[in-house]
Amino acid sequence: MTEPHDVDDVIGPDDDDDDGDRDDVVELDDEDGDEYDLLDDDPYADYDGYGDEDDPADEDDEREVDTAELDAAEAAGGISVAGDGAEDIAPSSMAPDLSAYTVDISTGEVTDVPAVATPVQADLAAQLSGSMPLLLLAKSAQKAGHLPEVAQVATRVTGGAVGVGVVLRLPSHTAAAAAAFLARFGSSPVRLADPDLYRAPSHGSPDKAIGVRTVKWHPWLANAPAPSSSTDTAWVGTVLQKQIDAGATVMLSATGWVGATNGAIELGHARRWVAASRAAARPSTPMFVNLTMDRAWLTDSNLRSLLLQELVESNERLWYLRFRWPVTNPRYGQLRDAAVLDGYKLLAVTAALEGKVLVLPNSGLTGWVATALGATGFSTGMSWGEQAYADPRIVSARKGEPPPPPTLRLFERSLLHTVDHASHVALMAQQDYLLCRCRYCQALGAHTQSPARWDRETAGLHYLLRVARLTAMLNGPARRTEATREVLRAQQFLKATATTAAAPTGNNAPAHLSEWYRLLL
Amino acid sequence: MQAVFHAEAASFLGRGAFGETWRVVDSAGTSTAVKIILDEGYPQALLTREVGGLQRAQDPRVVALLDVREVELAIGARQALVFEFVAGGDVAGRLAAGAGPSWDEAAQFLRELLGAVNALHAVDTVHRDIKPENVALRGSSWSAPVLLDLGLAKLLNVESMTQYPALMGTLPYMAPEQVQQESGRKAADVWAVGVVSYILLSGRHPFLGGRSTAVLGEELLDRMRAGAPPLPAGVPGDAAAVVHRLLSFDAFERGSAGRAYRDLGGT
Repeated sequence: MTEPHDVDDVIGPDDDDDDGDRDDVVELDDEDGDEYDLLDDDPYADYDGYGDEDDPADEDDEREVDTAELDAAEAAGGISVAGDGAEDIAPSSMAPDLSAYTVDISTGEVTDVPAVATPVQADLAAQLSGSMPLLLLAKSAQKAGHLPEVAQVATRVTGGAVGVGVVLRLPSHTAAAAAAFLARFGSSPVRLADPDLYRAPSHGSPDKAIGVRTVKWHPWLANAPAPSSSTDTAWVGTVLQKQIDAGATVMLSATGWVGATNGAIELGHARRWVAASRAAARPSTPMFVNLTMDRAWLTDSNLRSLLLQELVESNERLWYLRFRWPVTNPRYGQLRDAAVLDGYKLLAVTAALEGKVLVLPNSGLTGWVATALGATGFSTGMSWGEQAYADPRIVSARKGEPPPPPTLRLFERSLLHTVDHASHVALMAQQDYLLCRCRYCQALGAHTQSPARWDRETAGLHYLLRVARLTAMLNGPARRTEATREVLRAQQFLKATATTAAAPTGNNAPAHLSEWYRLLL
Repeated sequence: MQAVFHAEAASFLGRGAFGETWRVVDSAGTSTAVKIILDEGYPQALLTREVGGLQRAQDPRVVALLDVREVELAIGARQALVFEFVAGGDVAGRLAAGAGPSWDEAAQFLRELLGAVNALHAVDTVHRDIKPENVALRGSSWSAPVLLDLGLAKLLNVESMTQYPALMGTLPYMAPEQVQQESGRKAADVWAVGVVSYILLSGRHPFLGGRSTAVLGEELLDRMRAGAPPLPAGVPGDAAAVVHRLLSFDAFERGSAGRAYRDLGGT
C-alpha cells in the first residue's frame, strides 16, 4: 500500500527528531527517491549524543576522519593534511599555538612543532558585536563528534576572521549529554543550547508533536505555558537555567513559535515573554530574542512591517530568528523563493542599520547571503534539517521497499551548490574548476574519479568547512561586494560549462545563483 | 494659589488638559515648575506613569522631576508634580514670536531632541505627545532642547493602561498609526520629532501646510502616504535626509531615535 508521508518530518539518522510514533514512515531524499532512511522500531538507536553518552554507537561516531581515513587516504594517494589552510592563508602568517608544542624541560628542546597553529577566536563580546561574521555549527544527530574538530580547523583556515560557534537542540539530549557535547567547544566563545520551544505543544507550530522520550526528559518543554497566558517567572527561569546547565554562553529567550494568523497579537505575546526572560536572565549573560516564525512574517508586507518595527523599537540587541520555509527542492540545495529572500534582505538591512545582531538559525547558505546583506550570522549543519527549517515534502513511498543506495554529494565551491558525485567528476575536468583541498575532501578522494572513499558524513564536514571559508569572506566593510564577487564567479563558471557535457542539470544545477545575484545588487 | 510651597513668587506658565503649570520661586530664589493636577478625575495611574517615566530617564534633555506633593487649594487638595524650571521658553513660544532657528540651529535642535527621545526610549518609555509646547529651550538655546510633560507617556513593559482605540496626543503631530487610532509606540515619537523639525526647517507643517486647522481622516493619511514635500535647498543634507526618514509612513522605516541621533553625529 502506498501512502503519502511527510518525508522531511520523520526520524532518521539525519534528524534529531524523536517522534517514535511514526515508525512506518520513510524518508525520501530527492524526487527520484535516491535515498531512504528507514525507521527502526527504536528511532534513537543511531543517535549520536542523544542522551546516552555511554552508548557504544556514540563511540563509533567519534572516530576521527583525519586519523583513520586520512591515513588510508595518504597511503592510497600520497596526500597530506598539511594543506588545510593553503588555499586561504599562509600557515606562516599564523601565530604559533604554544599549547601544541612539546618542550623537554631538561634540555629546553622544543619538539612536535605544529605545522600550522590555531588562532584564538575573538572573545564573546567581539563575536556578539555585529562587527564580525558568526557561523554556528548546528549539531546534527550523526557524526556530530567531528564538529569540535571542524570548529578548530575552520578557525585555523580562516585565521580567526569568523566566529565559529556551536548550537545544539536541547530537547534532543539529556542534560548530561548536552553539557558534555558543548564542553568540547572550549575554544568557541558562542555556545547555544536551543530549547526548541517552538515545538512545545502549546505553541501551535506546524511541527509534529514531541515524542514520549522528550516529554519524559524535558517536562519544561512538554508543559510550556501557552504564549497567550500570563508570563510564568518560574518556568522562564527553568528554561534559562537548563541552557546554563548545558554550558551555553549565550541565552535564548523563553519564546517559541510566532504564528501569522493573528500576527500582531502573537508578536505581542512574544514581547511579554521576552521581557520576562530579560528579567530572569543574569545581567552578565547575553541573551538573544528567540523567535521561530511562519515565513509570512517575511513575505506579507503588514506582518513584515510589524516584525521590523519590533526589531527597530526593541531595546534588545541580539535577535535569533528562524523562519519556516516552503518546501525546498532539492534538499541540500538553496532556497529560491523570491518573496522569502526579499524579506530576508529587508530584515538583514534593517538590522544592520539599527546596529542589531541578527542570527538566522537553520538557514544554510541563505543565511550566508543574509549575512552579506547585514545579518551577523547564521547556523547550518551537516544534515538538511540543520540547513533548513522548511515545510516537509509529501511523497508516496512503499513500506518495506529496499532503500536505494544513498546519493553521494559534495558541496562545490565552484558553483556554490551541492552536486552528486557524477556531476562533481565531470566538473573537475572544466577549466577554472576550484578543487577543494581540505582534509575532508582528501579523505573522500574528491580529487579522483573514484567514489570508493566517499561517505556523506565526511562530505558534510567539507561543507561546513567550506561555509566557514565563505563566511570569512564577509569579514570586512565590503561584505556585500565580496559575496557578489563570489556569486558572479560561480555564475561565470556555470556559464562556461553550458556548452559542455559537464553542464549541471536537474538538482545539480545551481538555479539559485541568479536569485542571489539579484538580491545582492 | 494656596499651597505648602514657601513661595516668594508664582507665575502662571500654562494650562493643560488636566491642570495648570506655575513657576514658583522659593525664598532661596530657586525656581521650579509646579504642575498641579486640578482635575479631580485625573487617574492616579496616569500620574504614576508620568512619575515613573521621568524618574527612569536621567538625561539633561529630559526635564527632571524633583518631587511629588499634595497641595491644598481653595477647591481642595490636589496632586502636584515639581519639576526643574527650564529657563528659556519653549519652541511654541519662539515660533509664535517669529524667532525661529537658523538651519544650522534647527539641525542641532533635531540632533539633541533625538538624543532626548533616545534617552526616554532606552528606558522603554514613550512620550506620545511631542509638540512645540512640550519642548523647552534651556537658556533659550536651540541646541539645548528639553523634553517636557510626559503626561501621556507610556511605559512599554507593562500592559497598556490606555484603552485603544483612543486618540491620544495632539493631532498635527500624530503619526499615521495614531491617526488610525492604533497604539502609538516609539515610532510615533520619532514621527513627531520629524514634524516639529520639519516646521523649524521650512516654516510649514509637512502635511497641513500653513493652515492651522486640522485635516482629518483619509485626506491627511493620503498626504502622509505621499510623503513630506522637499525641504528648502540649503537645509543641511544630513538633517534633511533624517527628517524625511522620520516622516516615513511605515513605522519601521523611520528607524529608531538612536539611529537618527547617531546619523547626525550624536554619541
